[in-house]
Amino acid sequence: MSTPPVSSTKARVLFVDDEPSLLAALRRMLFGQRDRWSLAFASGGHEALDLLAREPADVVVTDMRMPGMDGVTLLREVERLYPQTQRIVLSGYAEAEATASALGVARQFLTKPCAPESLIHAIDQALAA
Amino acid sequence: MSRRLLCHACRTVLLNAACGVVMFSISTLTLLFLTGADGMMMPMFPGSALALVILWLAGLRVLPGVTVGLALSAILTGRVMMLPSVALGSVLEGIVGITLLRAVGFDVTLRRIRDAINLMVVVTTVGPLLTASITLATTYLFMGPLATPEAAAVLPPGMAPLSFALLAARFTWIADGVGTLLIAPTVLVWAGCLRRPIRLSRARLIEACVLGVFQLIALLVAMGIITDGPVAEEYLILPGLFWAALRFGPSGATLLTLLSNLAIIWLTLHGHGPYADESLVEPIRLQLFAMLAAASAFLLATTATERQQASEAAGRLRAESRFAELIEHITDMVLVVDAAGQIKFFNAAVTRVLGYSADELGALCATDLADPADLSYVRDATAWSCASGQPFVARARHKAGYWVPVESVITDRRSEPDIGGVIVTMRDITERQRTELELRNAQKLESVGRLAAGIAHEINTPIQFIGDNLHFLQAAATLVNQALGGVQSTEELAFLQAEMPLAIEQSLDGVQRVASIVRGLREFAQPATQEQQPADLNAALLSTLSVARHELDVVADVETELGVLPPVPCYLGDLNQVFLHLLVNAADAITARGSAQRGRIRATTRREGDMVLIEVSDTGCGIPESIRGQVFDPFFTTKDVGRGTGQGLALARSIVVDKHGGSIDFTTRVGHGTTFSIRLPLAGTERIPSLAEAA
Repeated sequence: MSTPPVSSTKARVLFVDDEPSLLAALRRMLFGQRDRWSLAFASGGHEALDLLAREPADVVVTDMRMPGMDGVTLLREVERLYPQTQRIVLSGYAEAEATASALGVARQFLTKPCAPESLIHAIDQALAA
Repeated sequence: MSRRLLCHACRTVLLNAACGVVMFSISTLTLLFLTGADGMMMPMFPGSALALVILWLAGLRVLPGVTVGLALSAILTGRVMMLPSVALGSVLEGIVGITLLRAVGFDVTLRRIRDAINLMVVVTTVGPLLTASITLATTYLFMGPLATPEAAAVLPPGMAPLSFALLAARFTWIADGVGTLLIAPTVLVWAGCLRRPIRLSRARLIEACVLGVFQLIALLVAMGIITDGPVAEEYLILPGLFWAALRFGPSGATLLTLLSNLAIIWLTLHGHGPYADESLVEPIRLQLFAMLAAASAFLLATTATERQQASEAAGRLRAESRFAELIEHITDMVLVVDAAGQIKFFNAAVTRVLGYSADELGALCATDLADPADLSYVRDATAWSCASGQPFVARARHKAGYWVPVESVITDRRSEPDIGGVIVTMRDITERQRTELELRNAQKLESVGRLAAGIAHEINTPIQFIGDNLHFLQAAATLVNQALGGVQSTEELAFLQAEMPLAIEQSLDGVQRVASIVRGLREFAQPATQEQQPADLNAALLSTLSVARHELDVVADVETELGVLPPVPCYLGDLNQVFLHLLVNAADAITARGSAQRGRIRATTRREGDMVLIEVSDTGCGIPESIRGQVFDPFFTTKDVGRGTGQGLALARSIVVDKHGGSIDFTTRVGHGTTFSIRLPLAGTERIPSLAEAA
């Protein structure tokens, strides 16, 4: 799932989730933000790191429970390699959220299901930081 | 039959012969060796004492043997003149003595002071009086009217026959009294002692030996044997007698008294000691001394024995009353049931747990306490428990009619006369069953809760993308409609344009609701915590409402009126259960009212001082007067089988009252509805630390 290079004026947001339908739905739902953000999607931690290696992102929004590499490991790697990149968790598990929070791997935690306004607001805040 | 009769006769003859020989031997020995040189002075005669004792012990059937033995001894020792008083007097004295002693309830074991006094009074007054009278009569006859030359020779010169007879009677009286006083108690006490094997500890044996040596020295000194001349202090033998009385009881005292006095008499007759004088006064002094010494030692011994028995009895009584006190105060029920099933004994726990008064219990049969349907089981279990000592669980009827679950152990003591029945130990296990029930319920709820939480998490992801897609479609539909704005619209297209946004909007609403149910479920299924944690009870009530919404919405409109509440320290998962029970009960009550009209369920919260009040009211059927006392009992239910287990309100009370130190009660009007009120302390509860935490 590669995206063509875009102009640097648009913020780049990377979504990571092992559920393809969820990524597709996010892409559709955020269609209205296409002028402000360029969106990237990865179905797992490794793919996300590959994408970031090619083109760094301003914000990473990731699920916590994923096969292969889990959210905490991914966010640790992102923190180490790209300290400028803002990290947001979007998870269905309250416990996972609590874990991530305790470890301090992300600046914000969103619980599925999350209303579009909340998600957009959270990303905007991250970009403003 | 005739052979048995023959045997019996043979035995009687042999017994008579044996008694005769004993009587003859002792009487003859006394007459030969314990009389003065003149043959007249006789400080002690044992005949009547032996007759009394032998007749008491062997019965009147040995009367012939006793009489013949005594008569023979009088004849063969040449005291024909004394024959009537020796033979007839002694036997008569024995019979009269026994009759009198029986009349005053004499106990042959001589453990009471009154027995000692009775014995002494009878053997020193009434009995000897008889013999003395016979002596008086016979002596006067032989000396006076029927005098023979030999007899006349005995009469001291210048003395009238009557005076001599009176003197003889006086000697007889005292000799007889001394004899009975020395011998009767000794033989009776020892006859009792010898029935059982005598066990003396080593220390007692040594003490007895020391006492023997002590008394021997005292005797030798008292009788002037080892001192120069007659210093003669007869009272020196008294300390030894008192020693024996206090330390060895009646058996020791009587034996030592008998032996000491025999020694004194024998020594006196052989010219030793303070009484060895030719005058007629000295023998009487000797006899009086012997009597008083014997009486004192004997009385002292029985007094000591009685005192010791009294103190032992008092000790036993104290021990018994201490045990009775213990049994009275233990929390388990203890009963003794006799073979007829009658309750012979019960402790306070029985009246407390089962509600019967003491009088009612006394009139009850043990089977009245059991359920007639359980009776055969209880019988089998009783036999099994007696044999194995293991407890079994049954039900006991409370006076109010309900059943108390009890764990019972039965111990068979029917063969013990003091108990004479089975000992039933019962423990009220209502609380234990309640705890077990709660534990089971808690485990069930925890697993259900965990499952629910897992499902809720799994549902979250699809809801997320369904919602995102619907939002996209909503935006897309608007754009498409705008794009189609100028296009000539067919009827079909017009319908799509109108309905599509609505369909999407309603789907979004549905997703919203699914999301809120899932959130509620997740909050409701809080994992159980060990500690109370401050929680927002309003939020908890709302999440429970969302979980129960389906049950409630069918029958009632739900209203909430939530006041401002500070965080309340609690076990939130448990309280959620309570709220759920109350809400579902409210819905059931409205269903039970059977009206087509929708009911109303109202949940309110508010702060009341340092308590928080949560109320759930319904417009249901209400609770009938007759069962209001039972709604919090475990297993009590009015619902159909399969609908309710009767555990809900019992559990609710346990959670609110026991775990949170709060209260739960209700007001109700039949046909109008019920309001349940829960009050929880804002301060939380001091929890008693468990063993694991203490360790």
